[in-house]
Amino acid sequence: MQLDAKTLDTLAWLSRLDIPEDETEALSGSIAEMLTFFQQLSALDTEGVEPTAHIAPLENVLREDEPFSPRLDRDLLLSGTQSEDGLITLPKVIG
Amino acid sequence: MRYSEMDIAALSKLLQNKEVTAKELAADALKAIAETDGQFGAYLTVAEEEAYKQAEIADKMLADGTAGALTGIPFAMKDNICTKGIRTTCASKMLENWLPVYDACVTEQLKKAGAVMLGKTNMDEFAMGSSSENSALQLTRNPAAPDYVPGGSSGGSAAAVAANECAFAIGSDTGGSIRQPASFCGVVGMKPTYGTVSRYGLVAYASSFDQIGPLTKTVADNAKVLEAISCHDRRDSTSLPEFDTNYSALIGKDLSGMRIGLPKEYFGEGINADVAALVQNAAKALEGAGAKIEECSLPAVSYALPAYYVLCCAEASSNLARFDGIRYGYRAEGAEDLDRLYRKTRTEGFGREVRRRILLGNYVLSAGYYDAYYKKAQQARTLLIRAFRELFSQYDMLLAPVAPTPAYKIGEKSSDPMEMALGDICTVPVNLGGLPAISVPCGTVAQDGANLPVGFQLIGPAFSEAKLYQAAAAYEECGV
Repeated sequence: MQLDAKTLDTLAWLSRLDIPEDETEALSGSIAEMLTFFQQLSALDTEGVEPTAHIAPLENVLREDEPFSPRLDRDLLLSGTQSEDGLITLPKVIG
Repeated sequence: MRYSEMDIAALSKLLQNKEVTAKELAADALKAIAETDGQFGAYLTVAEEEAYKQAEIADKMLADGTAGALTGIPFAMKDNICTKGIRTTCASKMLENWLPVYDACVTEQLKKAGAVMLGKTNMDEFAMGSSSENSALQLTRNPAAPDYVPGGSSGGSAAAVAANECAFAIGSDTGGSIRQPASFCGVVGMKPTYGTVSRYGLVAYASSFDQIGPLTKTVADNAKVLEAISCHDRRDSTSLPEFDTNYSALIGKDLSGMRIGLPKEYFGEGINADVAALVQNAAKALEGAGAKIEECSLPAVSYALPAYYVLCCAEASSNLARFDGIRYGYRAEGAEDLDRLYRKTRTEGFGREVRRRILLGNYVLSAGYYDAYYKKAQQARTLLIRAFRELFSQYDMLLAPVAPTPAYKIGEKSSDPMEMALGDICTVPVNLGGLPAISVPCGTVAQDGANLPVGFQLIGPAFSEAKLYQAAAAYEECGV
């Protein structure tokens, strides 16, 4: 089983990835294989079963709304791949 | 015996008795790395200068009486855990030269304890894989048999402990990534209860599964390391507020009255007969030590693997969206606009397996497929949690193989991701349930002239770490 080219294209766009030509066949085959494997789940009776998104026994975590400085803002900014004068540089977005 | 071969307990005694200094231990460990790591490739980065700095602090703590169980003990850190100023690569081209500007909570905790970090260990890229062969930076070999994989994704951490290149190592376990390499390399590995070790500063792969834990030479050492790293941390919204961290409390106590279940599904089709026999022997040894062993059934494990892969790919596709070539890490050259920059950076920066999981994750999350895959897997997760709960009303813990086979040869499965995934069958149910489980060495299997280590795992309900260590230590005491 192979994934059709249009679906693979859509997935690549959603993932912001390109699919190198020499990988197309192997990748679509292996994705299709995994999807077939996932279909084992369809045999499972899950009528009325709540989905589990998270395992932690925490309902909600609330804390006092006190300001604090993470101290990292500037360091984080400057750890960007390319920055100038403390600002991150990008390709031109608006023509 | 040289220092690098000793366990934490022995080293700690020498330090306390002033028979050795932390600086001397660091020097010995760094020498061991220089001598053998060329062969095994466990470390991606050796942080010599930083190690000596931390050793100096440890020696001060020893001198002024503030030292604890880990003060002065040399260790290795998996390279997906942030270390301020020391590159944290996730074994990816994407982060090959990335220097974190902060320490992970685990890094802080170990610094506070006076432990001495020697360097960062190799892994599957972004922790996606089971053999460490998906590292974009380096190949790691199994110290027990260098033609074989060390397991993964924390393969570098397990190899570093097994090769006596550190006294302990830190790994992370999303679907078995601490326990399986521990089993393959013949060391002890614990995946703790979800929420007991902060994920702050752990580069996220699948957040509802990821959990940090220790790899050590002995069970008692493992408990000591977990005591040092587990705590409540408000910077991780899933960090649990209150729990007992006295994990060593029950070690040495006898096992009478302890009920251990052997789920028959873990011993069925696909499980190597030699592995199954060694694990059965371990069960007998525990019975000899006073535990009551009984066969039980956990049919829900049959859909654990597809459920796990749906959910972890979905979470990965979301978590790895942050690598856009703008904020940190690799940036592709020559992209004319923003969209091309994203796509070119991500295509060049991520390895094949990472891209495959992102694509799969986006598939199962996309409109039209969400209910059939993602929601269905979440419901399967609920059913598995219920099944575990039911079993834990009858048993204190479960005993099972860690992996269906011992380590395999380098290159043997790397071209077949499906076959690689099937090897995770015994470990992923624990992560779906957020449960603690410990991998303990229980012998070796002879294959092509190599003696390949095998481990068994003890799986308990949430917060049962102290009991798991009790049983594991009792087993260790009987000897294999």
